[in-house]
Amino acid sequence: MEMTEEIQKDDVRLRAEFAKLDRSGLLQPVQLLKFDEEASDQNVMLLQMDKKMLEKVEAGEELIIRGGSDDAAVLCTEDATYDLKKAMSSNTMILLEKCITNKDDLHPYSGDDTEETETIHRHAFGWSFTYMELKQIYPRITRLLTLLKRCPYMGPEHEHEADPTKMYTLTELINIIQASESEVMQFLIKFNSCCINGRWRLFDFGYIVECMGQIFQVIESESWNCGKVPVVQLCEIINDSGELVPSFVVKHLLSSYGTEFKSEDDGLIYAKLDECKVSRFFAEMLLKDIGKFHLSEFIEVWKESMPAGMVADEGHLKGLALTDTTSQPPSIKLFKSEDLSIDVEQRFDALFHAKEKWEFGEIVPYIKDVCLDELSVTSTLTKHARASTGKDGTKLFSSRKPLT
Amino acid sequence: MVQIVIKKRSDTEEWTIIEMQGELQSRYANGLAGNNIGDLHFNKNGVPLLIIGHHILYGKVVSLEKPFAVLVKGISNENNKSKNGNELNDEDSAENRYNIQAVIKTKLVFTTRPKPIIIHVSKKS
Repeated sequence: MEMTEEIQKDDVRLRAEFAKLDRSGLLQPVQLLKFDEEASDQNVMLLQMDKKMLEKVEAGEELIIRGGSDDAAVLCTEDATYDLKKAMSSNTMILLEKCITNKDDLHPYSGDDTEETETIHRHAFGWSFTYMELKQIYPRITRLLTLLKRCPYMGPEHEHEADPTKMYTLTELINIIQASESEVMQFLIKFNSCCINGRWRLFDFGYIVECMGQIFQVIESESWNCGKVPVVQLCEIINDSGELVPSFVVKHLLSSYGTEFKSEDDGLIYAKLDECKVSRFFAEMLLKDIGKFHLSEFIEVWKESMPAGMVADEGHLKGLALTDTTSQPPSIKLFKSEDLSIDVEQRFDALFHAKEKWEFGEIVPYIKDVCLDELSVTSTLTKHARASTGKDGTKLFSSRKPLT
Repeated sequence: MVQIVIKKRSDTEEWTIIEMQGELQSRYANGLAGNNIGDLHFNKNGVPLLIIGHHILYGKVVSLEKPFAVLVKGISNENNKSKNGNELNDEDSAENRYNIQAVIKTKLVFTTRPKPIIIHVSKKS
């Protein structure tokens, strides 16, 4: 043993001399690299990540790769979703289990020619020509809406007909959806999903219409301001009227279409209804189940249906309904962004199928829903749509593909 | 839906990558496993020098802008039984678990052309 060490050290020195390396310019110990007996290119996978993700991982956060047999795999952290792609390199990457790379951890030779070279053995665990690359993507939440729509909540009297195998807990949803936990939660809130007995449900739209009708009736008869609706009193009045709208439903709807706040004057909880959300609710109510509506007629009915103090504005309809001013007479139809595919290409196909030319402000709400940030909205649009200038000078976007 | 959980081991180490152009081959075509790679020297400027066979390579130390996690297909440390005592099904088994064995923040890159070492054997008698 001793002997071979000696020989090795001599070899190291000899090899350095053969390579015409001058000891006086070098540092030691010299690290002798060797592949493990079990080393291969199969035993490891390299996952490239940014420093922020590495910090989280080092702090103990789990990463989860998710995908069904028909899905492309995604990688989820607690709050983001990433596309996983295998990257090939023509370079060999050898994985060393330990290695000094900083010259400050090494020291020079003494200058004494008889000095033995210090050496350390280093083991290579394996090698690789590939690594996995990550790119943050818009969470794949298409399935979430499909799942939530399987068993909508239609009120307490219908619950005995509801199929419990078609409603899901948060844990169940996270296991099915290709997205991170906080993204799933974010979308549950966005879709106004309500947690009933531990399971996340959507309210049936017909049921919402019924309940909102009750709520607006009380608001009107009590002459309350839509910006300040006393929550407890509203629940009591609805209960006393004998209507079967449970308080949790009233509260959920108030927070879906507005925000709750505590008054500093009397310490009571009030709801401030949101004009835009309320007007979108009425628009959807009017347009649902109707193919097309005459635009002027729709605007008239829509504006009339709004509660006192609230004004419907066409700007509220972005990403919800589509107006067609080229038809005679001009018409409007329901066209919800959330019903479109989250696959960007499919989404653009659907958009240009619905309408040939779009104005910027009109198309953005439909694109924003599948983009990670404001910046990518413009670049996505540039990539998937052709820009042109209309007769009146407005910028219009149309399909890059030939129309079929 | 398959789920693969990737989790850091409590004793995650920091490893280093040695990157070189092309592919390494062993002298006797017996594969790389178990074979020596070479001698890694550093000069006083911190430049890594790697002697492989009769070649010398000059490299540089690169701090990775995007670090790597080294994933190793893991055997879970937990019991091989699930909570209710049943055998684990495929989705929970060790097959679907990766451990982060190490992280890599630094690499030594040797992408310049290897210089041959010419040995003049002086005949001593």
